[in-house]
Amino acid sequence: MRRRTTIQRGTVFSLSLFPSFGFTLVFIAFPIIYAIYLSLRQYSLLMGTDYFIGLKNYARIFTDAAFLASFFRTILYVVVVNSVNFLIAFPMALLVSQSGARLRSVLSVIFIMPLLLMPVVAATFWRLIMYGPPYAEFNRIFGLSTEFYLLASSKTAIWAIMLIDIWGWTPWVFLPILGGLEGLPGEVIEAAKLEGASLRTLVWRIILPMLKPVVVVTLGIKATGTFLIFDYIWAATRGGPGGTTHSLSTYIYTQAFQSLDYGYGSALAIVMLLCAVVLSTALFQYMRKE
Amino acid sequence: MIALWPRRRIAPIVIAAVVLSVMVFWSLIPFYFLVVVPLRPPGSGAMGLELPKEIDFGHFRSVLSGLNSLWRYLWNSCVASGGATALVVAIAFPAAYAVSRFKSRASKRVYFSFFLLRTFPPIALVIPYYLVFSRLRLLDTIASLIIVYIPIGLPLAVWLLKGFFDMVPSTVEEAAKIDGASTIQIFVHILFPVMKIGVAITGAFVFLMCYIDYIYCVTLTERVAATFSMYIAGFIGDHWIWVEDMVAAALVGLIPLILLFSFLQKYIKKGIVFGAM
Repeated sequence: MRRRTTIQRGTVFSLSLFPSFGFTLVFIAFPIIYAIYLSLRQYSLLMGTDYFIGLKNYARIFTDAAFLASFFRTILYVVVVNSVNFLIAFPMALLVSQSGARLRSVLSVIFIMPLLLMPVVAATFWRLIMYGPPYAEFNRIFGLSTEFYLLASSKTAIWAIMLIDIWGWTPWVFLPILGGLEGLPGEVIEAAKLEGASLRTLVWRIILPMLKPVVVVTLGIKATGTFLIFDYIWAATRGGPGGTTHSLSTYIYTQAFQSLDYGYGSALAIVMLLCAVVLSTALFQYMRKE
Repeated sequence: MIALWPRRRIAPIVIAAVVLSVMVFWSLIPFYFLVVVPLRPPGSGAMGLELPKEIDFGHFRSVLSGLNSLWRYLWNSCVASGGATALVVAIAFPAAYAVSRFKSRASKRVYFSFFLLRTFPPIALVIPYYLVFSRLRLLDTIASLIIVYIPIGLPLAVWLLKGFFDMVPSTVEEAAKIDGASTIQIFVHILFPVMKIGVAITGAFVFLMCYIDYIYCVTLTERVAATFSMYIAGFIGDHWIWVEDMVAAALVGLIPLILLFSFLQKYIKKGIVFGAM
């Protein structure tokens, strides 16, 4: 009898997972295996070649300076965007949580408004209206010359894109942090206040340590997403000027779909996939510990 | 949350007000231009912060009607995202149930693999998809978009639904089982009704993530199945005289997202949907 129930439970378990496993196999596992196969071939439409070359595509990666530059640029992008997101979102959430009920609901709505512009729309809008001459509204507000197109200079372009990203995604960091702040136990803060703790001590010694799990999970999940960044960059500059704004995704995209070198593009994509897996495994381990 | 600083003193209040105003300005200033720019009459050449002297709906008219109107693109976006959402939620529902209810080692492995799938770079999938679809003559079809949106939605949906299943006590199903209900009956008559709001939230998030996609539609679609993202990005490179039309279209395109977010906002804050990003 007991044995029968365990078999039944096992059957229910596998049957429930069957559809999603089938779909994962066909629509995720198969394409990845196909990409690995492609990565071992010299498959280029431009040169008209398609034959097995072993690991040569992977060897080529180490001498590809533009790829290495995109790799480090992507890391920089992830670090800068996520840190600034937090630096804006935390005081934002703290001030909102300290406001009265009516002000709080108005402010929350205002602060999540950037979510309404999807990445492509935000990037296109900032490119044409905020940065691009003749409008260049961003330049007008900050007293820069309207002739100076921030996205056209290799010195400023990547920073200008980061600014769009920060503007668009801060709400995703703001909302969970606000939720976390509102869930903090009031007694602990009250006790510290009674002992005469200053605002700075309260924030650094009490609030931030208690909020740490929320912050790490929010920023961690967001960082794994930012690592894949494509839409803001592709809509704003297509990786230009002179390749100085390429992220991993946009660089691989140009290798595959502009240079039409599907073999090399696939090899790069597989390397990027491995990086993403390492990143998210580390995050998952941390989240399980918390 | 309890007050962190005394409310009777002027200095902290002034500092807080200044910081808040800067943040409000920062969040809203692009929206000011988003509303004002397309309202100015075509060819007025007005720029900067000044309000339009006269209001003209010409830019809205040209994106809402005529050959290059936004409807087809908006429709494609909604059909592709909606189709993928329905499919994904239906597949993810039993999977999330399994991961939530069974505490075996296999179950934990499955859960972890769905977490990993969420961070798979789309660029690694889009190259093989493109080659296969071009051989199957599926390029530039809504069907191809629905297929590629499955990898976006499925891991996210399993992750979110698992969280909602965790909140439903398993005693509900056990009681039904004792009464002689079959597994299918339990799913349809017991779990689905309890999970309605969870399914709605999950569906909204999956829809959102598909709706804002760019990398797949820019690779796989061109004209027939082009989405709203493609429509907006298509204004780049055209003569700058159409810039205001783009802004008008962007403003109209906000409507579906306003509806989605007014529903989702309070749930994002509750932290149920941490994983949703």
